[in-house]
Amino acid sequence: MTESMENIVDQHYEEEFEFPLWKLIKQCAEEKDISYSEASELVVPEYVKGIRYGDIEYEDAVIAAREKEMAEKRAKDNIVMEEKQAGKQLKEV
Amino acid sequence: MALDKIADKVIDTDLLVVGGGTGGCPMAAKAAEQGLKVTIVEKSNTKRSGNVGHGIDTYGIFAHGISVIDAVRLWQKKDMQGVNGPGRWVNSNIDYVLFKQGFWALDELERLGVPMKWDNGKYYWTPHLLRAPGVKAGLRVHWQNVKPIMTKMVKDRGVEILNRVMVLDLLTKNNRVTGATAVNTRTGEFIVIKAKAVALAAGFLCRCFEPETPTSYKYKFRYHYCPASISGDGFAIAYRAGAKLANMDINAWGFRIRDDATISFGNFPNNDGTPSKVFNWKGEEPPSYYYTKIAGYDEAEHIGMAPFYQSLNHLTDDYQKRLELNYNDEWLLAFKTAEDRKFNPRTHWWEFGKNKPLQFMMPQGVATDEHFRSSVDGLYAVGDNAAGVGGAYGACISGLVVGDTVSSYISEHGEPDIDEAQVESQKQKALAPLAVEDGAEFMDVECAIRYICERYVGNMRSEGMMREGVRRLNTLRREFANKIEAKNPHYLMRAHEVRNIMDLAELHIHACLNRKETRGGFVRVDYPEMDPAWNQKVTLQRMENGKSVLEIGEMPDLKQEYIDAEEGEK
Amino acid sequence: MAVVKINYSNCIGCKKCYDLCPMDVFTWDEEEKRPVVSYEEECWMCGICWMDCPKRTIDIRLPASNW
Repeated sequence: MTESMENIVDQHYEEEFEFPLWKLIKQCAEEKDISYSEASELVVPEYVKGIRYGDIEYEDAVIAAREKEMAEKRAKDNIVMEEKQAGKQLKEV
Repeated sequence: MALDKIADKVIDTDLLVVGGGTGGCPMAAKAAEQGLKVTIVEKSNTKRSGNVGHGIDTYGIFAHGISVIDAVRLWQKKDMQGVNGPGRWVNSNIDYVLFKQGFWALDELERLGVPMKWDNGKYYWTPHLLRAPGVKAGLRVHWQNVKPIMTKMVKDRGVEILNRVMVLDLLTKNNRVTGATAVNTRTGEFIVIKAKAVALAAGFLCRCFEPETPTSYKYKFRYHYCPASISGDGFAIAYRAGAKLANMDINAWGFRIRDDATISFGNFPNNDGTPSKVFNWKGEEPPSYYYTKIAGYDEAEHIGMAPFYQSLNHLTDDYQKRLELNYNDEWLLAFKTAEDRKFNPRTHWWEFGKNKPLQFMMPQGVATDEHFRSSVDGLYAVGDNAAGVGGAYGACISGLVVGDTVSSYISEHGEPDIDEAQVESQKQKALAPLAVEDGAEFMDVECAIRYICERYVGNMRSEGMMREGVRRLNTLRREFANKIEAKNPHYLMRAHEVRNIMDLAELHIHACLNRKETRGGFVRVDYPEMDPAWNQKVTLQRMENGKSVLEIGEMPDLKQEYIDAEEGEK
Repeated sequence: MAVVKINYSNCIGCKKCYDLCPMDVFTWDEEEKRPVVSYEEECWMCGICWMDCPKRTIDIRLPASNW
């Protein structure tokens, strides 16, 4: 039985969304009747305040968590590749 | 003056800067501050031209927590996008200057009004890169509008800017550069520029390969990683003037990307310590071999594992906001095209493909010493235009160094001696495409060249394929080089871009044929081993008496005087 | 489908798009005092005209081949 093509549609590409920063830039540009690049210069400094830039503890934690994930993946990859090598000579290019 | 009869316009200047980008503008500003008369000749408009035309989010590689000498050593070992391999590709004395002058350049840029610090008055060092001493530390910068700022910076200092003018060839006499010939791409004026020194800051070359994003029969300039206006002009005119180009065999490669405008092409994920995840279509995270190695990707396709996708779904809300900032600083349009396509980085993945040749950059370009002097007297090269000096930081540092030092060359060497016969000859070549009737379209010839570089050179190189590539390129040149037609000055610019791309493609194939080994990202399937005879060697190519000359040069060691100087400072 | 679309009813003829386009996609109609998209095939959709237009009157749309 063949699968209906309808089931392969990726619904994500049908959901509208807005970037919060872009929404603010557009609003500012329309209110002040200026270009998007000029509006961005007005909006961004405020937006930056809502981001935890320079919060070393927070940033370190995010980085460490990702590094841990990557280390775990590397370890798994090594096992898979070793098994592969045992079964077949790889041409490393 | 006979020149007035040959040219529509004659310009007399101290320093001619070819290219008003992030290398040329700081250089021009600095040189003008030294009292020089400076002229920038820019193919488009300095306010939005070049690689940082609509912005960039990252600046720099700085040495941090280690000495400059250790930074140089570390850099030599570093794998730059997999292109480099063991042995040195570039001049370590250049690396020394770039690390040594990194902070001086930062201060200069701040002083010149280029925004390096954030609104809180501080630099923001990308934290991930600072967690261990090394050579990666970079600055997060808000450079969306850096080009209008740099344009004001040079105008305030009395620099003359010629926008919409393309330099077509350099003028030389007795191996000294004396100026250039150029054409206005809108009015068609033929312009002669007399200059006591010339600095090339025209970027690198991307249009000798297919764009990373698939294109239709129509929009063939669609490049993700660099603006399509970059066509190797600064390489080609140097080459034809007899200056040596280095490493024309060692091009950059990367993966083909879909959904390109839906993500910022900034370095955000890697630099901020939260690299993207890679999934296959089943949602598994396969070993990186399958998507980083060409052979791996081929295998993946054969076993039904492809396609592969990158994802930033795992970012915290705070880091998704940082990603938005990167869109803003690097490519504002990316917001709109992402929303138009309903591509949400919080929930979507983007597909990427096999590695392919990308562009000529980083180790490639005009061979210079650490003062950014080429092998032609009075001719400098900076930024992506010079071998081993890539990136916005490389452009700024080298540009500022030349701006700071070129006045001593100029005061020693005085007025250039223009060869009028050379001007006449260049003028004929310059305007010839305008007289061609029923000729070839520039894009058709360019695509033919790109196809040769992709298929007959590519990433997995071999003798037979490359020889066929040479044969095809020779045929193209013979049949079409003089037949590219230009209906107006705009198309004249395009015809000359293709002329440059053709010259450089030729150098590329010859250099690749000549290197019979595999080293890092340079792969010869017929010579799969590394040949130690090539360690610390560099391919150098120049034009001499109308012919292409290839020699193998020695990459110099880091000078003892620099090592001693650093010891002395300890 | 035009990838670069100018809404002329809002265009004030400031010439920014014509001056700034890195690929020289526009020409200038001196009579009408407005830009014309003359080399559309050479547009690589960088968005500079779109972001710098003071009236936000230029639309950039990716062609089908880039979706």
